[in-house]
Amino acid sequence: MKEITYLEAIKQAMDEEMTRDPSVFILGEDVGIYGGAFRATEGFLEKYGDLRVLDTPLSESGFTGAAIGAALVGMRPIVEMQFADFISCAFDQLVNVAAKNHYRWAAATPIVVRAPYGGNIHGGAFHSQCIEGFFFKCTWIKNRCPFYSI
Amino acid sequence: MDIKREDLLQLYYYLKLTRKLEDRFSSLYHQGRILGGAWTSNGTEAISVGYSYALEKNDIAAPYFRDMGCFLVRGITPKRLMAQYLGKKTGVSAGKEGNVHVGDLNFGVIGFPSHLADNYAVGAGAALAFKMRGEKKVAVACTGDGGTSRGDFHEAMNLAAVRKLPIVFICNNNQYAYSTPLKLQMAIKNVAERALAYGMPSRIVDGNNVVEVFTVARETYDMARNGGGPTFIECKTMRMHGHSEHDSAKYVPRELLEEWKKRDPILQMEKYLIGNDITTKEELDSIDIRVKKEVEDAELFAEESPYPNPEDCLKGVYATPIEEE
Ligand SMILES: Cc1ncc(C[n+]2csc(CCOP(=O)(O)OP(=O)(O)O)c2C)c(N)n1
Ligand SMILES: [Mg+2]
Repeated sequence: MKEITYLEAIKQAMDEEMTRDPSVFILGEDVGIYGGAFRATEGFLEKYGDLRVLDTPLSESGFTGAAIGAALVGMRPIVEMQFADFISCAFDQLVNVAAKNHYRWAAATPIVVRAPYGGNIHGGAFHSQCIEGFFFKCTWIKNRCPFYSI
Repeated sequence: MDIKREDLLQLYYYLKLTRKLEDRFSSLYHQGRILGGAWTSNGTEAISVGYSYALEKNDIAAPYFRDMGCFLVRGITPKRLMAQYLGKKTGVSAGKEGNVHVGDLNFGVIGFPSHLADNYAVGAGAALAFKMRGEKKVAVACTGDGGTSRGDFHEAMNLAAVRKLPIVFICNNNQYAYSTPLKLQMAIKNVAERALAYGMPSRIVDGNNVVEVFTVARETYDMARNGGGPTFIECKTMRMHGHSEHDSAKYVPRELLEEWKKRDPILQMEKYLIGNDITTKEELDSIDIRVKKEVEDAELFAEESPYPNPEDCLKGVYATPIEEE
């Protein structure tokens, strides 16, 4: 098997899914014109257009809530947190809305939230936190943290 | 104004149904028969009835907790709502949740998360999906005056305006957020001024006039449906009960309540219908009898319904992935 970086793997997975399923779309800060702070969506805007690769205003809670609403009516959003650290601003929408919809009123909320950290960028206290621990208590959200794979 | 007679009578019917059903929730609460709290929209029913009745079938609503009229107009039955309040298996959430913290996508109602204004963002997301798919549908989201100070209110308004999403944002301005009066919540005179900052048009309506709420909602939905973008509608009204049924609201000046009592939405609608020769007292009485019976039947149904099984509380944490269905 060809060896690729995490970034390439994520990019390839998103690309394949977006080609396969028109309900998949990406939203977040600088994901479109710039191709993502970590370049995970480079070239996507040209390929999929600005409604499926949506540059949002700087508003983690707002666009996470919007992803939830879109998922409730049949879309499959992928939310990009520019850096994992900023997921704290969307904490409420994730743990109180997305996570509980199905249990409370049987509405599935299939959203994927990408929260990149690490990468050896010397990010300091606001750009290098391992945030998955915040969500361990919230069993209703599935936590996935790939760290080594061959 | 071109509202059909049957629609006007339906608006009256839903106002009455909302009032009577919530009155019953209130009584049951005071008898200790409700699980959890009981909030009512008493005195402000025209808002949720009006904005919901103006929707088309395939549109979607993201209400807040004073929007019982939305549940009813969209077709969630008094039976299921009463069972919901009594914590029964036949309730909207099958006993998982209490009172108004529910929704049902089969009726185009997004569940209300307690955290106020969250549904502004969720509603905007539904509108975003409609726009992406080129569907001629609209979303409506509602919150209270208090909720308009939260970040999600502002983030959702901004996103919707920037992307010209097909959504109408409603604010039930009932002058209080729990005990906090408007003047301690914001330094502006009208909540609608908030829309200006986002480049979004706004309207201010008499929230106690169901015909006005309906008409303005319909106009703004039409605009949104045809690519004209979002509108913010401030509905001026007054909360006539306490914040919740446990609250005697001693902090609200009695004169203010007396004043607003004269503007009761049901009273106004009765006057309008009879004053304009649209209907007769007898016809309205017959609607009232129908409503009374529906509420009684709902209670009977809810009382006879079973509670969920204890093991049900462990079910439904995760949705079934499509390939496993
Ligand atoms: C984010 C958030 N904080 C606090 C509460 C608790 N709470 C419930 S209702 C309420 C007041 C709401 O006032 P308003 O938005 O004006 O709605 P109203 O009750 O007047 O209809 C508060 C503080 C809440 N539900 N959500
Ligand atoms: Mg209020």
